[in-house]
Amino acid sequence: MDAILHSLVYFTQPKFVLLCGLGSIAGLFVGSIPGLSVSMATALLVSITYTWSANDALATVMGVYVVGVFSGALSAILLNIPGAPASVVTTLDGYPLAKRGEAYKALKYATVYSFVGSVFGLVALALLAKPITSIALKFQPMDYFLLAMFGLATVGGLTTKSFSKGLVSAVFGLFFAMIGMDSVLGTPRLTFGIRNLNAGISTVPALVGLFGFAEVLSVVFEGQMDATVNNITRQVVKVKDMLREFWHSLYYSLIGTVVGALPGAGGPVAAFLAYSQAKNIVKKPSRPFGEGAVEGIVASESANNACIGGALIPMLTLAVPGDAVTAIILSVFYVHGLQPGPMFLTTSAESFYAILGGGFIGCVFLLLLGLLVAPHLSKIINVPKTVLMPIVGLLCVIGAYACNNRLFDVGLMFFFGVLGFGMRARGYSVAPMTLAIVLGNMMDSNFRRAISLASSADSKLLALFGRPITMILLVLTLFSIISNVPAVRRMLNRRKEAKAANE
Amino acid sequence: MDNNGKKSLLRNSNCQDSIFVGLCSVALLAYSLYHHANDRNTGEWKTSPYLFPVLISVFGLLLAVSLMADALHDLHSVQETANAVEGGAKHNLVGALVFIAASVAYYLLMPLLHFIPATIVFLGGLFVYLGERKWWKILLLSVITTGAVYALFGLGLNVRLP
Amino acid sequence: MKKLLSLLLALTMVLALAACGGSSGSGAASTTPAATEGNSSSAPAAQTSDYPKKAITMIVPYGAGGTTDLTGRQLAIALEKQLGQSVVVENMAGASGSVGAQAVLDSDPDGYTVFFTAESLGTQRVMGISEMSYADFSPISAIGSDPKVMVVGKNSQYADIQSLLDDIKANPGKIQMSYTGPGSSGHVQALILNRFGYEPALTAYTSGSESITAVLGNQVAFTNSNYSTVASYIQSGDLKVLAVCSTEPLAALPDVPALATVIPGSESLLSIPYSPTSLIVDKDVPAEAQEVLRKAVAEAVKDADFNKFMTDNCIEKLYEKYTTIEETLKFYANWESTVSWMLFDAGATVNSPEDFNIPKP
Repeated sequence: MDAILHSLVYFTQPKFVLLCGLGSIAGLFVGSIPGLSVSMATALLVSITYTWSANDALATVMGVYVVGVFSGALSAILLNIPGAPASVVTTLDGYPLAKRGEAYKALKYATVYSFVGSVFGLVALALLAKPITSIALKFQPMDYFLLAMFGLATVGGLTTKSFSKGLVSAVFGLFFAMIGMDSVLGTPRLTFGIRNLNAGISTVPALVGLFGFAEVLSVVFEGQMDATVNNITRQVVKVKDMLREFWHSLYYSLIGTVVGALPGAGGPVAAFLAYSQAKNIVKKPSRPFGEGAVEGIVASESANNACIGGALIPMLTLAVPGDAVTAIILSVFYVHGLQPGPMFLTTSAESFYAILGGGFIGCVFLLLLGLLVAPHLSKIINVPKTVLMPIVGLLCVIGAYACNNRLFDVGLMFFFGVLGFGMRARGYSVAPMTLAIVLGNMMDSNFRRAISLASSADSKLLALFGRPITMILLVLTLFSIISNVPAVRRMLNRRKEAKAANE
Repeated sequence: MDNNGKKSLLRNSNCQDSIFVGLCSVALLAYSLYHHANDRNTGEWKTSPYLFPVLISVFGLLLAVSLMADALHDLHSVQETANAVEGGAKHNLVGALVFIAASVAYYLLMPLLHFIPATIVFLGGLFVYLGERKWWKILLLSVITTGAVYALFGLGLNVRLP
Repeated sequence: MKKLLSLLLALTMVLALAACGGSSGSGAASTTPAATEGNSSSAPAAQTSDYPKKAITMIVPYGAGGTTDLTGRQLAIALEKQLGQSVVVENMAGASGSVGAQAVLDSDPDGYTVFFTAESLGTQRVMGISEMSYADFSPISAIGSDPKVMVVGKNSQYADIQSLLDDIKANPGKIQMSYTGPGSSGHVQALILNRFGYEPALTAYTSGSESITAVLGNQVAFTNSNYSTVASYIQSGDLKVLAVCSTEPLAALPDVPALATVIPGSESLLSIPYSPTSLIVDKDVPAEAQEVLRKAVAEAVKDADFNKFMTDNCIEKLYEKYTTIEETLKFYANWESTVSWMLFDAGATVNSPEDFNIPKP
């Protein structure tokens, strides 16, 4: 509680608030433009802010981080192009809503629940950093592997009508993630002598290609150049309706915080898990999931924003970053002489409060910017497609190039664009593939680590699976795979029908 | 599609995909086994870089079987689960191909022409192709967008644009 | 009408983007001249040529937070003051540092990409990790060597180094140890243990901080870590140090025994600095730029903050030991031959050092 009170002091410091606000505005842009990522923006900030005082730098970075994660939802909803992997889930319901002309409503929900998620994560960071660290330390390599498997199995079941097709997409994603030097021995795998592939396939060109470029191609292919989308109705979204999902969103935020605190898993996994939970616990969604259910947006956005607080926990207490952005924020710390680690919360309490303060101020800006800017941004959907598509295409090319300054990545982006386009045409979803590319290397190294650790134990099976967390994850993973296998599903349905007939 | 009501297994999209996935998995399995056996520093299986690819190929094979099961099910089920993807409105495959070709040309021309002229040509060309006819709008939009992108990436984000 | 309106909106958006880009651009520009002005008097080195004209990227081939990363970042800050340009640190972890090294060689040899690395370049060829070695680079300066310590978790069953060593000897291949990948300094330490009949079970992690997390989370029994990485965990009591892998105890830990006193006969092997960090560049970088960098480093290491960092973390100051380029090259050659042959003799290498004309020590 103390920490939160201390952090609120920063609301009274005009310079701190101003810098955080500037960061937020920058975050809004980088997060929402496909191809620009929050990690790029924070990387740039490291070099800009090194002459500043530590608190000023932290204020700006937190502003960028909090609002940047949220604004990935803007392009996800309006253009079906997620700004970052964490916003992939938001496209599932956000874009259908926007197509119905209800972009305004979707954006409003995304804003409010991103706010709820962010605040939840930061409060957890303030109050529960120590306990959550010890939970995170209990996760062993096998658990990370299974968590990722569970995530992929869930996505496979969520995003397409056919479970096999969802998993095929994930398996090919894993295949792409294997390309490049492996992280343990440095053997170039599946590169076929192409030296540019040695560094592996970066997430940004793959994401921009699979979603951005493929979307552009689909729009051109379907020839809806002139079709104007339903006019935007600027509906009044009742506060009462809006708050109906509040309790659920706290649950999603909890998922987001815990998954965020596990290094390597992060936003996309949290969002997918929350979304699958939403499908189970929300009995009467406003529309079926996947066709524009605001409940889906609530789940995805509260979970991925709660990851912010979660990802900061291992970064501060163990100096192990939770995701790409916190890895760069970690360098901001080092540049300013702050040393994250077990002593950080006690020895650098002031900086800890500044992070919290910056985070909370960022949340307020998130709410303000989201509510003020969203109605205007939602008109982007009315921009004629003839104008919009070439511009989005250009942004895809530049975004893919900008992440590593490599022309080769642009080529990769085209490859994934065409692939994504082809996959959609055959009824495959690209979301599992994206998640698999993000998680692939983490799965590979943790799997091998788990095998290596177990190989010296007396009972190998016990060493692999003989822990409560591992068993729970294993059961969940197996259950989500088996219950989704078409044959099993048909059998279950038949039994249900038979039962209904008997009664 | 199938007017005779005759259902050919090979024409079922799930079956085609199953074969494709199966072949890819076998290829990956062969590749992994070959390299594990022949590469110099792979060591035992427990540390081998090819352990995980083998696992993936096993998943792939299982999925190929599962897809094939779907295909067989499609054949036996009374109502053909129609290919919702196909059919529908007129498709513009040529448009999509032109778009790809234009982007690839842009990608190849960028290092030769310098960023700004290449981008203006790329945008202007596509605007025209996609049916924009007011020349002032085309000119204005392509120049302004190029300028904005250059300012944002080249100057703002220190990206070394060609 | 509606279309026109939306078009206008689109335009304003694009303009707003431009404004945003412009403002952040000017922000970046405004910091640099200030830095240049402040230091132009103290940095005559930067005057001899127009290098450096823009920001320099320092690639660190390990994850953020490890010793190499921390030292590199401290050096980057000190170098910025000397060069009047920002030095941006980029972590490219993986494959015992070869991912980052390859990226440095792949970039233009214009002097705007420098490489701050630990020792792994000396062993990559024999380990079969890559074809790269120190010979592909040109040294700017050797910087530091972080002492190695053996640590266990706070609830570990091992109270002192002797009990751990006894247990390893009694259960060969059963006691778990985390390390940072084949050919790394942690691996060399494990091989030294092997030499004297101790065989822990090794599991590779991608960074020093991950190896430590493995100890904290009880995945492994112990690890061999750089002192600076674990210093704050020792302070907080989360980890216990059992031994310093050297011939003498550390100034900061006078009560912790040196490993050489516990394992008889290991003095000669433990006296070498096994994790030397250095600032190097692609050997094709113009000599002029290299000279500018060398002078800047020579001044930068005198920086008060940098010195405090080195002293606080008990890092051996190699730049005081090897002051000329010839000495540095000789040190690399010596290091490469000792470690390569040690790895080879232990059967841990893929290639023989003879294949690369590395002489026996």
